[in-house]
Amino acid sequence: MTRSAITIPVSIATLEQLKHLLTELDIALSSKRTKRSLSADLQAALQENGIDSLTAQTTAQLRSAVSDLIAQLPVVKVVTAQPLENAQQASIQKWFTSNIARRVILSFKTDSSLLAGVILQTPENRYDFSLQAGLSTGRALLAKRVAA
Amino acid sequence: MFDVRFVGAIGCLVIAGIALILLMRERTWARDKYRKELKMTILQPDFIASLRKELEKDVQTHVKAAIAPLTKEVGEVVADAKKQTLANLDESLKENRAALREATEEQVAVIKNLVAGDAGSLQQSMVTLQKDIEDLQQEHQAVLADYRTKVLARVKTLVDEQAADLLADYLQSSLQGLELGDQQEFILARLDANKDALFKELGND
Repeated sequence: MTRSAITIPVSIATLEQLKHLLTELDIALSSKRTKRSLSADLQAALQENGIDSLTAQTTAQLRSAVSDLIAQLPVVKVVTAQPLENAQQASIQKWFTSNIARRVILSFKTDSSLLAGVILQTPENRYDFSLQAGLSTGRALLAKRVAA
Repeated sequence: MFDVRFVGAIGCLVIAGIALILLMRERTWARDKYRKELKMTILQPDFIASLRKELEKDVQTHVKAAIAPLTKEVGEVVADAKKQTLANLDESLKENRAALREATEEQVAVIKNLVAGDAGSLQQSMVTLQKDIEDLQQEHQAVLADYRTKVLARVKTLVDEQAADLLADYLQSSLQGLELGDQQEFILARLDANKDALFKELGND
């Protein structure tokens, strides 16, 4: 099996999943693990690539594929005030898969200072739809109107 | 019988002989004494020193006696001059002391007048300044109160007429994310609203 044939399932779409997969592969390289103890993501990757068991070669190939994916694909950070449920994360992943032709890596973060809303951080732009930003904008606008 | 004249002549011859002998002896004695003194002078330095000492003593005595009147006269002149000088100094000091006292009293009087004048002027200035400050504070407080009233009235007007709608809009749109049930819709709605921009940035390899 050549390196180019290794693919990472689309279901592994978040940066956290990919980093966890890298960690798991690093551990697998250092110690043999049975297929049962592997995570669901790693099992899905093995299944997608038709790999029955982790060998040193397949592990290295998988690790290289994951590293390339992280290095090449754009990362979109989704920052919310409270953590999103898996279903909510999945729906957002689905939106990106449906509306953006290219595969992107999502990274879900939480920041309680946002109060509510969301911040989308792309490699080149920042879309701030948080309540904190709304309050700041409203406060500035009100001050501008008052000063007029 | 001897002739009286003959005896007289003999007697004169005898006396003349005796006198001659005495003169010759005297001459010899004087010559010996001279030689003796000359010998002592030449051969005895102590004698010379004693002579010199005696001579100096005599000279000193003579000089002292000679300058005694002069010394006395000079002392009297110096005493008179000193007495006169002291008298002049006393008189000058009296005059200067009086002039100094007079000048000091005049100066003190002038300073007293100046201080009294300055104190009065300073007190007047302080009163004026204090009054100006109080007036300024009152004006400042009045202006500030008026400005505050105007600002509050303007804020109230703006909030009532214009800002209320604005605040309601952004609060409503932002508060949608507070409800967990609406958070997903909120995020998806924002993604849809910015779909073109996201596609433009992320959709191209």
